[in-house]
Amino acid sequence: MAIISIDKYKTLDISRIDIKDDTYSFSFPEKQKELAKSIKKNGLLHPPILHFDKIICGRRRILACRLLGYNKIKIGLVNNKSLKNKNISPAISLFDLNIWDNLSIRDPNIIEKAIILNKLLYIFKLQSKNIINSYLKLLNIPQNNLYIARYLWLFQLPKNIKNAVLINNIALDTINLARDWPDKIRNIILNYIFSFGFGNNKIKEILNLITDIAVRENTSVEFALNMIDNKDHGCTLYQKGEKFTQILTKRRFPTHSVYKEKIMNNLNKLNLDGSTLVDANDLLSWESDTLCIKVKCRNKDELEKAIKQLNILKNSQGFKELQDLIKISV
Amino acid sequence: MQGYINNEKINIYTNLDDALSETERFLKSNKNNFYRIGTGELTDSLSLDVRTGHSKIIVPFFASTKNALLELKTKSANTDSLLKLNPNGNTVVSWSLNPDYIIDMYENNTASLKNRLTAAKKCQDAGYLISFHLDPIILYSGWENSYNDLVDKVFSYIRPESIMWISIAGFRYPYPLKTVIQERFPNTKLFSGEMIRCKDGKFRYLRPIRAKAYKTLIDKINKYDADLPIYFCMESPVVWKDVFGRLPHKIDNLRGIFGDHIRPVRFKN
Repeated sequence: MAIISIDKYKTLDISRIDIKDDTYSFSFPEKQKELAKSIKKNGLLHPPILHFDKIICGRRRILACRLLGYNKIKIGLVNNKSLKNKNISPAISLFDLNIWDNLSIRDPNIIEKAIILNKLLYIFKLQSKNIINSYLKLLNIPQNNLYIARYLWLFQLPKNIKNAVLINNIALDTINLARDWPDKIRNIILNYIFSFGFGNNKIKEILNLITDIAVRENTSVEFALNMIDNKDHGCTLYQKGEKFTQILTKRRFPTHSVYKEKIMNNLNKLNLDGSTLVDANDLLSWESDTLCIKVKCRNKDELEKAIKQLNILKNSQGFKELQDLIKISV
Repeated sequence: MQGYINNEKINIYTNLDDALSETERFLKSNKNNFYRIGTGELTDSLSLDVRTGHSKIIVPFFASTKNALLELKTKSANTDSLLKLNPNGNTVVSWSLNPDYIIDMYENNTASLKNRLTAAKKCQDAGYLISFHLDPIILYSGWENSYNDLVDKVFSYIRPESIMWISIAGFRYPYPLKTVIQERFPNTKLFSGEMIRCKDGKFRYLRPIRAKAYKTLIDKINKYDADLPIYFCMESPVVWKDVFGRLPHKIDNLRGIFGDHIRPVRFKN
């Protein structure tokens, strides 16, 4: 990284700034309205940095000022002499300045990281080796080529998907599950899934289910297109998403789904009064041969009531069926 | 292993002298106990032996110990250097085995089943004890015939009495491993079975499915030798009970393996 100094701060006519050039910018999304409100209230606290007429840091601030109708703003100008570093090109030094300027106040989001890596590789022509050594740790990315590939793929996604990734707080590992899907199908399915308003874990579960079903059934993820239901059934989008997940789960885990359904039916048939309950967690995984029964009581009377419940449970058909279900014969 | 080590590289430690002198001190200060010591837990014991020459040092070291058994675990057929050594009954050479279909599909750059078994036979004839790990068992259409054939092949090469033990385990994985494998082999079918997260956090085939697979293999092995010690690797007590009807410490021919430092029952010296 080079040390760049700011030559001077001065007030500049905003029309003299080249706002079309976004070489050094990586902000995503480029929302200016919120920032404009803040500038209107507090003024431009942090002057943007320019190199001649090019914006190095603060492109969003300048666009927000334009939105507010400002004619002149205070800016800092990069000292041209400080760019003369034998080892680093001026362009990279200027991009570094913007990265550091942003890192001093916030962490870039995953899309911004993707934009940074894409620019380093394709605009500033740095080699992967240099990016791994000088930038990945700085951006809190594991120092591995695999991650560069994942971020570059993320960069290529359509803008609406990238927006949804940020809105739903989706992790790179999660969105990466759809990486090998055909572009068109992926975008339709992702748009549908994102509409449920689920968070990262649930989205990850769905993407895993779709990918696994395609491999398991030796088919394309296209099968999920047929499951898209755009009709209004009077249920919320969240409920629609839950139903979509359930159908996928049944298809992915047919044997286990049948088992789970039987267990749940039998648990419901037990008709316990609340003083006694059967712990379903162990049963549902099918990894236990033991029924765990909990008894709740605050005094002798409640204990007696629970014992009566246990006796009823002992002789019930549902209890016998539960025992038969968890036992396996080989 | 790739999910566990978090590193694509293979580390070869060069301070073998330190490891052996530490082992010697430990064995001498615990003379009344018997130990099974393996080098194949985090890597293949023999795949790089041609370059490292470690076996030429380790096997003679264990040959002179009185209270330890060395286990070398491999998927290779690199046994030439072993054949020139005298293990003195203190080294077990183990092969991790799978049907050729699985070897071709998932065990890249390892020896074929035929080459592994040929190497095992050579080691048997050179006085080594042999063991096998049918691990990981991967289920696919036709697995039953393939794994039964595998057992037949084992006993066509190796005498039952040369086999110290056979361990059995189904394919299991911690979740991060799935991401690593899918990244490298996007079309892998390795995770297509019905697998569920178990109490230890690893994903395994459903209990009835894997119990059936284990029982199939055990029945087949028992046809050749009903006394051969067979145990499960990384399995829950409930599966031991499903298949054997009891836990390992209550199974007679496993006391040599799971008893409190008891010398393996089939150990001949």
